[in-house]
Amino acid sequence: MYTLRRLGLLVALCTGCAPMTFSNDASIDFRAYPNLSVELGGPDGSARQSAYLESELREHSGFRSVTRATLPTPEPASALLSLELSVHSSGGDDLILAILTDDEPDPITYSASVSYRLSARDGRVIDSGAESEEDESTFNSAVESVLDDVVFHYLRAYRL
Amino acid sequence: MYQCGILRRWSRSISRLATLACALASLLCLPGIARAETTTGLDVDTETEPASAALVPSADRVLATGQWFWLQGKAMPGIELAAGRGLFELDLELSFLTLTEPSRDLDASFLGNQLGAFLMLTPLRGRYFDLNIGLGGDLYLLWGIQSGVSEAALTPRVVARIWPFENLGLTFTARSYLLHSGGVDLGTARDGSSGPPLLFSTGITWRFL
Repeated sequence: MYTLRRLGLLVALCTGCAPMTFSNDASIDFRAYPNLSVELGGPDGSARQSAYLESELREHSGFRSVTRATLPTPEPASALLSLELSVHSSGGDDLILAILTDDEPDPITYSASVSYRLSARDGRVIDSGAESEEDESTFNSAVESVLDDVVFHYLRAYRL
Repeated sequence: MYQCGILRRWSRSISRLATLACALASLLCLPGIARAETTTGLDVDTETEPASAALVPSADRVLATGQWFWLQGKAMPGIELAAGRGLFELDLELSFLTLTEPSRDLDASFLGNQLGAFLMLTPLRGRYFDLNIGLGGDLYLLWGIQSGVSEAALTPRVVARIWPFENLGLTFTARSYLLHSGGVDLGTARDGSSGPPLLFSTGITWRFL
């Protein structure tokens, strides 16, 4: 009986629910800059990557609205995010040599880097930074990974 | 485009989980010393053949546990694989974390995965009961929030197992977060109220070896 009581006490103790919170503080004051305009440039910035960035910022960032800088908007953007994207590939240089010598060619890897600057409507720089990703297996994954880093920087505040 | 992002997040998570699984598999399948019993009843050590060596686990116990973490406002079911030899045991955990209470800050309820790795000591080990104490880490990959969101904690942990049957047991664990990254807080609720900084889980364990 005593053993059963001790076992019951152990079970009760081990089934008590603990509070645990995941939280994130916003990197900028999103209430002051609710509407964002995005301009993705640089040697490897394209419409496809711009659309990806807008979509991810819309879903995950703290900005209330995200639009492309080149498109007309119903209300003026309170901030402009300008990005310069570049992608480099490495490996695969000795492909012909590898084929001739029957060696396994080095896999091609991609690295991407982006620098960004967030400016207010009056041109004042609110925030700036740079991100990079290396050793990605495809061009698109390198680009999306580095753009994800920018989205992560502007992640909305949460408390879950 | 959005689907592409989701798929990539999935593939990254699966790749991380695969790495973890490979690490466990390589630990369990280390070439070891097989025990053979002679006709005299004495144990002798025999070197295994190279071909079969990979199939002989060096562990003297291998356990799998399905467990449930007791969290306020969240559901966290998971599995644990444990392999041990003598006093030492390596435990690996994989759990799935969802919100059970809706939040204004997140449209979806799925948050991501918890990965845990622990080096445990087993000071008590008997037929009906064993106790393990150890240290490890909890890693939360919160890709349900965003692919880059992760939190980590240094975690002391106690595991008690009761074995009413030879191969089937009940597992109770308790852990706390000694050091943790800024975005995870055990013992604090969403509304700021505090509670005990101890996370309990209960599970059912199957002994393979």
